[in-house]
Amino acid sequence: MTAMSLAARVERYLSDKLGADVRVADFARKSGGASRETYLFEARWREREEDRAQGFVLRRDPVASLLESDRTHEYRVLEAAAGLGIPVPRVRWLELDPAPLDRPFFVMERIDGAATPPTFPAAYPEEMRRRTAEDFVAILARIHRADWRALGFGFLPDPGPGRAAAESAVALWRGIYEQDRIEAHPLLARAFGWLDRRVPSTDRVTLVHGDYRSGNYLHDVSGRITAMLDWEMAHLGDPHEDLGWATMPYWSSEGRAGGLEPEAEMIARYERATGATVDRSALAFYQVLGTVKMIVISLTGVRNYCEGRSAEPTLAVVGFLVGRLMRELAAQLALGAG
Amino acid sequence: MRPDLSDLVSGVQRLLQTEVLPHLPDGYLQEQTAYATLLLEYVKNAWSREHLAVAEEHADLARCLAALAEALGASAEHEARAVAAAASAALAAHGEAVADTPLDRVLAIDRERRAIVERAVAALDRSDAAGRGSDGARVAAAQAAIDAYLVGAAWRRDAALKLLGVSW
Repeated sequence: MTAMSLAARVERYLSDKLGADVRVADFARKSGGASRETYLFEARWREREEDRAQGFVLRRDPVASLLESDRTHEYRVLEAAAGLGIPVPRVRWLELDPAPLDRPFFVMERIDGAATPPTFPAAYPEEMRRRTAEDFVAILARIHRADWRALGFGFLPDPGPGRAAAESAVALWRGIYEQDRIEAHPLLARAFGWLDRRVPSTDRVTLVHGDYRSGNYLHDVSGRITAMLDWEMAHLGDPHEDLGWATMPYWSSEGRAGGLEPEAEMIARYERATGATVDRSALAFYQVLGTVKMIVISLTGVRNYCEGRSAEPTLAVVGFLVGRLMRELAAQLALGAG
Repeated sequence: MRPDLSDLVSGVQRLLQTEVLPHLPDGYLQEQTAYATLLLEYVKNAWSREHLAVAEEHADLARCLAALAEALGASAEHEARAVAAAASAALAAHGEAVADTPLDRVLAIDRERRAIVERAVAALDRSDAAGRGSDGARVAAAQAAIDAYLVGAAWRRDAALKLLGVSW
């Protein structure tokens, strides 16, 4: 299906939903959606004698992806996240019937702002980096301090205090690895063994974004974060999981976590914002789990590419990036260090 | 013989960049095509030295399996001994020189050998969990052989990324 014919079908769908003659403009597919096809467009229609225009994002189930995730989960999380008091896209329609666009999808309102690569660019002004770093931690602290029961996140499984949060996180990514691998990766086996021997306990179960990093927010020209995106892996768990993911070496550059600020400064800022003390051994555990998770996500994409379910060359490129992740993982595990 | 692989890949790249890319109607297809030319660039850079990387991996795996066979052959643990036997059998079964073997055959052999290393990792983890007992020195030697292989393999994979020329 071409982008134009898909746009025409989106017009029909929105016309039905809004009860108006909707016109779709600037319909464009966006690269980089790890788990779903992402399209940006503007819808225009008349309502109560007035011209209306709204930017939207369409997230459609893919034929194959880096990460298999449930769109109903993502939609419900985004619905509940609207109550967090942080900038998140407003979700509008969830469509499980494949008839309108061949596959299930949901539509959310578009938020203005610029995206960054997975590491905040070193060439951006220092003042801008500082503001983004401030917002990055402030928003994370708000997510982790949220009363998730009161805000409607109760549909997410609660692992409870203790080791269950970490154990279930390890079990999740081990399960995906074992399901999606197309060859043996002894380094991952070594890493899972390392993780099994170091499972941390937590008495603090919070909402966990699940993909909290540079590259998953939008910002304005001053560096203020205008939207936090990609909530599809949100769950309840140990808040160290988000911190470990955000600070892992893969997203870092020039000694700055996420390209934003040194890890120690980010952690200190987080402790001030939450009033919680970061357990350094738990952080190290989740940094290793983060690298493992990123390798597993990448290998899922590699499998889809190698088995012909996707022709997207980006999935093959991701397979090459596994090399860098493997080297970082070997360093994190201190292999060969005696 | 010309055209060689570099000539052929360069030709396809030129076709995509000059005849296809400018006529694509949307940014998504342009970006995917640009990535495709990037992959072709990798093929162009990698093909002439691929046999060297494959030979290095093959030799490292052979060293690792030989060390596992020696360290775990007399282990008190049944699974460790089974891994040692599998390593010995794998080395005996495929003794041909890399230079005389098609690369896809070597790659298939090495996939099997990596599976044995992975099995060894699991066996050593179980041994660790149970307490090493009299196997302490053997486990340490096997672990050192595995880790040396893992570090080398990780660096080799990262070197392939450098040939692709992608970073952030």
